[in-house]
Amino acid sequence: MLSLQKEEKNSNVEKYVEDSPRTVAVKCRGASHIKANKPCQDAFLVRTIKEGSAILLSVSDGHGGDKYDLSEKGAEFAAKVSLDIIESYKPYYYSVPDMIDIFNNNFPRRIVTSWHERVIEDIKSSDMPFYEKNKENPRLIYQRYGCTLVTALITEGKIYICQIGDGDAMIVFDDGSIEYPIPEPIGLVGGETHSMSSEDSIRLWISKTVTINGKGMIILSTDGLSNSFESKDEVNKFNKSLYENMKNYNVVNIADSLEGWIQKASENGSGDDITLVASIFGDESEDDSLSKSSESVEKRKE
Amino acid sequence: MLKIGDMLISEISKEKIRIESKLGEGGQGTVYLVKGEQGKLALKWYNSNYATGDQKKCILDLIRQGPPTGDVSDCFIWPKDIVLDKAEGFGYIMDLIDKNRFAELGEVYAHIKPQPHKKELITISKNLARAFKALHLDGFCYRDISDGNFQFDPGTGEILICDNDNVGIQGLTPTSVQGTWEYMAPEIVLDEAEPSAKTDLFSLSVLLFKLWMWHHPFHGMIEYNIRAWDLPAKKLVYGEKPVFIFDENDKSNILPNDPEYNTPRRRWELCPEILKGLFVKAFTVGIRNPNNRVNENEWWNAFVELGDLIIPCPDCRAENIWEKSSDRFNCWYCKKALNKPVRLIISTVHGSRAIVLNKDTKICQRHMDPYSVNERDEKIGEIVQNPADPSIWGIRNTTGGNWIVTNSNGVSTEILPQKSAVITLGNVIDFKNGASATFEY
Repeated sequence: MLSLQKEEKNSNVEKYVEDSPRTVAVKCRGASHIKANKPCQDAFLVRTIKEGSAILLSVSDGHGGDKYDLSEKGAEFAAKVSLDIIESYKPYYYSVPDMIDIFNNNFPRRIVTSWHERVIEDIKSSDMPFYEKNKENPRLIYQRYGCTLVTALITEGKIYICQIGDGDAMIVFDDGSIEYPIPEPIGLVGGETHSMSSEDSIRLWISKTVTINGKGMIILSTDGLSNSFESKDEVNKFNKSLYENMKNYNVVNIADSLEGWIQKASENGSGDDITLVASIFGDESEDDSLSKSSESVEKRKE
Repeated sequence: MLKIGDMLISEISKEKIRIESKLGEGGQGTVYLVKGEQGKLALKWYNSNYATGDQKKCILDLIRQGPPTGDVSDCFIWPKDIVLDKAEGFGYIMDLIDKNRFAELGEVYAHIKPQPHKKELITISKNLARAFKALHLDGFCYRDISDGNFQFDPGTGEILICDNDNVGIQGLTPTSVQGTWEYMAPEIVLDEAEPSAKTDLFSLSVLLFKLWMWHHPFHGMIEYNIRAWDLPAKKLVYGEKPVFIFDENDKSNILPNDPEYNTPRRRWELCPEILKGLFVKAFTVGIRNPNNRVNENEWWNAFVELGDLIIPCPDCRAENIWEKSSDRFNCWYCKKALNKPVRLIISTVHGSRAIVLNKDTKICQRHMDPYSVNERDEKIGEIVQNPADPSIWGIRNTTGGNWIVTNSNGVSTEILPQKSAVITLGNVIDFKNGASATFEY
């Protein structure tokens, strides 16, 4: 049976674990946000799909700052809309050329359009005067919800990753090698990032395809995680160690350990919110559980 | 799939190569960095479903025939050798692309690599036209022209055409490749034709449109209103009902009124008329009539002409393209009014053409004879400034023969080699090669 455990230890942490396919997600409110009594602006979503035996992951990071005052909502919308759209591509999951084409071309246009619609719907219900004042220049509305997004579809044999803005996608393979499929953008300074709310955002996406023949693990995270380390080597060490733990230990215990570690990292480091989603692929038990699950299962805080 | 550290031997040169790292992957296979006796190279290794006997034969034929010759041969990342393994897998060796220099269009869109300026954009476009012309003249068709299969140096405009393993002789070389959806000619989408040089021309037009407009020519209201991007949707947009977003006679697929579509809207407004005309032809009459598509020569001539009409803004240095029809002229970037540039109007038996005169303008053989095959870029003359009074400009004769300059009073003067003719309204230069020129302000 597919097992799903949900836990909300306190208002600063959100955790989800699943033992097959072995998946852990931890979202921690940043130390600076706790101090300033601001909400956590990150969001994540994990979904398993029976037909097609696929895992869908999304991590979104709402921008900090006064002009992005609704970014935690923007991040939630981005995470949800991205997986809804990726799920709609289900008939093509095993047609590699179609999926590459979809992630390169159609997905960015659809997610931006759908996210805009969701934002407009929300502002109409929460702040109609602001909507009326700015409906001719909706960029000012989108800005309040500004966020980044990294999302992935894991099928048998391929991982498709699509990203806008900062955040990290990393793949640890069983032979110890690590791949960062998404290159870093140029021309952005002072912590600026591309965003769902950026002008021309449909062109700011980067998508990559990675072949997976054996076992391994994908990690999606907000930039708060990598910013907690002094070097990329340290990040790699952390990822490898997380993979070894994910293979060998109870995912509930791993999530608990991660929670403590992430909170400490935020306190000692940038103070930013940190979210991490890790999922093992190529594990034989994964297929059994997926075939037993009766329908698309969504795991996140309801 | 290969592993890092695997050793293989190439079939033709019998060279030992070591798999160093993975560079990337696509639908057909994975590309690795490999190290051999010749240094670092790239190896494309096919996924098992693409590692067919036909594909292997195709690669061997391409290696035997070699890339198009002449000054375009460097534009093609052509298969150089083939590599087999014991399990009937195979791949081919090719040159490594310098990723620090070369960019994919998607990387420029996403600000991962710098945008080319207008001059380099024109050079990229010219290079695409002449490279595919050379390929077609050699009897090949490319079959999968797309932004994923070519790269360019944003600083110089040099191009690289990659993934040449799908190149073949139309109707003779079997292929499993039909192209990339966004770039497929409608007759391929509708299963009415196989890829050919004529369908390449359609794909080339889409590529040039995406290079200049940052958008697809058919992505308007029809695509905007589609929610499920499934096979019927793609067939509708690219095959059954392909309507150009800027078609003046069919407004059913105009750009949506959505700020996300402002980029192509703005770029179309700034697009030179000569280019607009070719795009309109390519995506209206050229959709259904493969014989009436814009060919490589038409693109080449248009881009050569545009290259002669660049004028830098004196305030912000942004490159503008002067339009013959424009009386009022503002910098596209800083919006400041620009003076009408001084133009040299060269008249030959082939007609007349304008060249905007800037400090670095060179008059070349191709300006005198657009059909010259060799020495097209051979310099005939160049703009110079009087050292004593830089406000006085002239054209230096860099040929070995004399020119004759006749002023408005009918007085003629010989301009010897390395001497200059002052740029003065009313002067006529006889280049003594069948071409003459006047100046316009």
